[in-house]
Amino acid sequence: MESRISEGFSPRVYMRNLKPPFCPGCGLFSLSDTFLRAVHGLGYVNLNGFCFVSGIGCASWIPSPYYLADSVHTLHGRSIPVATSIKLVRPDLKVVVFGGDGDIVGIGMSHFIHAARRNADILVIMGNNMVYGMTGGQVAPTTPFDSLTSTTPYGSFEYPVDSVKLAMAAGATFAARWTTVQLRELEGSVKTALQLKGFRFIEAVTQCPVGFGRRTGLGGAAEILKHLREAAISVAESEKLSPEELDSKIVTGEFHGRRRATLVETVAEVSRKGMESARENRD
Amino acid sequence: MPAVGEGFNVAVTGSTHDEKGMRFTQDGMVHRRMVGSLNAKIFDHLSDIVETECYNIEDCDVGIVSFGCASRSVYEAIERAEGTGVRVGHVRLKTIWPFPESDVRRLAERASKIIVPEMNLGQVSGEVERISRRNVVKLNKIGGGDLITPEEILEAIMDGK
Repeated sequence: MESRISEGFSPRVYMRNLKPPFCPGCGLFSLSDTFLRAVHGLGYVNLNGFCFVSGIGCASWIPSPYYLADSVHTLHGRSIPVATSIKLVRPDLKVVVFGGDGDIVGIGMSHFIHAARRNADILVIMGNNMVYGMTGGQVAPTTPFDSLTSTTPYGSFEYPVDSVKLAMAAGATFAARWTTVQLRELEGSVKTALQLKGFRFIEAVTQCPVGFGRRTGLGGAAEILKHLREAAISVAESEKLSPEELDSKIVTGEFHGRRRATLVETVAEVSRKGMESARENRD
Repeated sequence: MPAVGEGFNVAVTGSTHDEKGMRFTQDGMVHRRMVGSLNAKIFDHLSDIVETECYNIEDCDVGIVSFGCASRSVYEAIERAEGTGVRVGHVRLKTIWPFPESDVRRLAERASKIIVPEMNLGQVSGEVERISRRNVVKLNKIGGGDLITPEEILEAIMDGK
């Protein structure tokens, strides 16, 4: 079995020497470290050849400007279309999107669906803290039903979105969901995703003690992690539960979709056809 | 500036950042410096950025400042006005900001009145008034996709002639 502390791994090797921006106890420390651990595990000694794209929100700050790599920090919700274009222009780069739940499945939800539908060659890593953490704990599309947030003082009255199911339904090649208590599994999924082509999505359910725990009454980082550990169940376990029982659970695991030609390949094919047709018309 | 994928570890951000591209959203001084420098960049390159189309602005009695689709009706109105011997100068704004002050000022040197047809309730007319210090005739129309017609502009040109 692989050692928990990968040999010679230090996240600092891949990072600029800057003070991290996250609150004490934030789950994004774990998400960032785990991503870099997976990168290290795959044998990358630096982040050359990667291009990170992010939008607005705490999770978007993981790569920008903290990773010693190319990073493009775009508008709120627009990281996926920017990443798709970068990949089309530079198919040799490994394009990775970091974003929060508000960024990826809130304001950016339609981009998320379309990128999965197109099988765009990008890896989207979403830190899901179930709330708009940076702006003060407002209800988000991922907030569990009946949660107390700063904008729902009597409990949220909307049902949360299942981002992984959404990605798979839209045509993603690969999707995974883990919590920040399952960092080894998360690391494994990052490794798998980095070696696949097409649209890949990883959701990490993270603890946000300041924006979520404090408002919902769930408590600090340790209490939320305890809650995540209890709520996390495997896909196999989830199949035995009723939809009502599943409401309070977090289904974790990996999902593989159909292997189809990726957007880079389909665009190359159609441009080849176009050039051929133009040549025939000229002759 | 290098692009991504060239080995330079470029950090591109739309947020407040310092001269090295590092984001500093919490520092008011960094923000003031950045906005100041962006603004200066624009005003130092006005001749590259600001675009207008000027017609007869040195030799006219009546001036028109227009932008967007209203300009098509202006072309027709000018042709008809010239048929009756009235000389009309026209500044068509392709750039609204930074406002093309020098062309509007040159037009105002000759034109006794300036007509500003706009497909709104009057937005650029105030700017023209401020710069030209002339009698500005507002010609506004909104709703239903109805355009300002050449006849309406011609009427404004001929008013008082």
